[in-house]
Amino acid sequence: MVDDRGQLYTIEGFAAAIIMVFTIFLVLSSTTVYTPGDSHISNLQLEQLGHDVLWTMNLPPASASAQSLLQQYIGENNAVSFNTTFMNGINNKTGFATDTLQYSASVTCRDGSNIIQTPFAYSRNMTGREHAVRVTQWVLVQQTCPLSPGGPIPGNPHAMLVEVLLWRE
Amino acid sequence: MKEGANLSLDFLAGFTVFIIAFIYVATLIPGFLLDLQNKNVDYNAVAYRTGVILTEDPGSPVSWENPAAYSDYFIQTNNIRFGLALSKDTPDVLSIQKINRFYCTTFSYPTDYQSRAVFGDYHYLFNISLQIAGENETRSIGDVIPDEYGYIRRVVKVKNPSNVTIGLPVINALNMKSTDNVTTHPFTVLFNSTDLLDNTSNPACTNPLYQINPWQDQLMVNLTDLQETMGNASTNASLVRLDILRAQQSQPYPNPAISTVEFFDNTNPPGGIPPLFLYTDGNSTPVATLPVNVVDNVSLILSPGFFYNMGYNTNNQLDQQTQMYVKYTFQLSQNDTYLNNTVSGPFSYTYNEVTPSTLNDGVMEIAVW
Repeated sequence: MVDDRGQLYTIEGFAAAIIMVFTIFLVLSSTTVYTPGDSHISNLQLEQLGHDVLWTMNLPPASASAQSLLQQYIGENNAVSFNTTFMNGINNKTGFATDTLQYSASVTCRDGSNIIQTPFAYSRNMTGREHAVRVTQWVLVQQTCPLSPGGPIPGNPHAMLVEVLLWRE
Repeated sequence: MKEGANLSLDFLAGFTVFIIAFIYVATLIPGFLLDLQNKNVDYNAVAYRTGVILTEDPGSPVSWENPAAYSDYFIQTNNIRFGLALSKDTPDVLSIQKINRFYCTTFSYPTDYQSRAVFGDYHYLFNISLQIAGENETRSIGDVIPDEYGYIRRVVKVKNPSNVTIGLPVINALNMKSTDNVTTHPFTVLFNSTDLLDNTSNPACTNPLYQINPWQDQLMVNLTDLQETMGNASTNASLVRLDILRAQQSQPYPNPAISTVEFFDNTNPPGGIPPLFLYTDGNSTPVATLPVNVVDNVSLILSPGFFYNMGYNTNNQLDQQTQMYVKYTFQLSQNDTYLNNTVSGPFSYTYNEVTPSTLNDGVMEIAVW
């Protein structure tokens, strides 16, 4: 295998190289490697889910002229009901099991020349270590900017951007 | 290396070849790892695509779920695409008729679904489940999900069909109780397609989310409190006839659309017309033949597309102006008062009178492998 000067014979070198490459391939095949592509898929699933929930919450449930749940909750500044509906939306599955997604929502609106963003509802405080995705939905509500606790203010429509950060626990 | 610490040309040449090879291999590594994950990425992409097709697209043709317009044979043998959305402008809002058709047993797993919803050259297996709020049962098609699969979850709304309950308050308000003591009492319901589809003052008419389409949607009429319309408690009532009538521009007076409905064969309805279901007094089994005794209530469910083939005019075009009527004929055991709108005119199935369509919550999960 080795001559008197310590050199490998060529054919044996090739054989050793093939064995090493094959071994590496086997090892990599048998383990899950988390690639950037996988991360993108996970984010896409979360974004789609969050978008679906906000979109369906913004549809009037029974009549074209009625308010949607999202308009109602923002208009009434009702974070408790928003939390219940949104958590059900993102965590309900078709079986008995539920998911464990968490969120933090804020509302952004324009007051004259100022753009004001106020926290609205959340299921967990964010620590900064979450790998969150962002979903948004525009909604037209009868409210002041920033939101007043007194409920809807007729004749005072504001376009508001509901922004939700969504992450897996 | 020599004693003078000079590099030999052999070493330089060898080291250069090694570095070039190393750089080349290093640039290949991301692609190399991507290949290892190729299956998983592919399954997730197919699951996502299937989710979009089912929840954001109405399918092709858009009324593929309508058995009156498209028979099973047409759907099985033609190149159609499944899609559960009401229309292309209403993503995430599903039609209950399309859902029922999608999960019906006339389609076989996996072949019918692979070529109409999942697509792809590779024959993917899948599980597509849907849970609608308020329903105990989860609708599902497909195999048991293995360990490795692609996945997407979609949150949707499901449009439920409209219905109307005609009880004593409505009967009194619209004066639909006969004061004549006779034994035969007709009662007619008008499905006013002009008001349901062409009333521009009503935003529901043009909004597919809340529109009631008598040609395509399921329709339901509940007659209740019938006993209280009688003057004599000892009178017995029976439903002896059910006529389906229509009025068109060429034939304005209501004329028979199909022969009088006296026999219900739900597995083989006449002329390819979708079945109607008649229930009396809370029985869970539909009535099979007429006449049938009625104590207090009658429920009539017209399957989606029941009127569809009856709406054609003499030019063989669907005439939206056609008005459809359902006429009940009740027979009493003795002269008495009863539900009867001969004088007051047909009860109109319109937005003002019926419980409109509502949007229910739902969640759909798609797993592909």
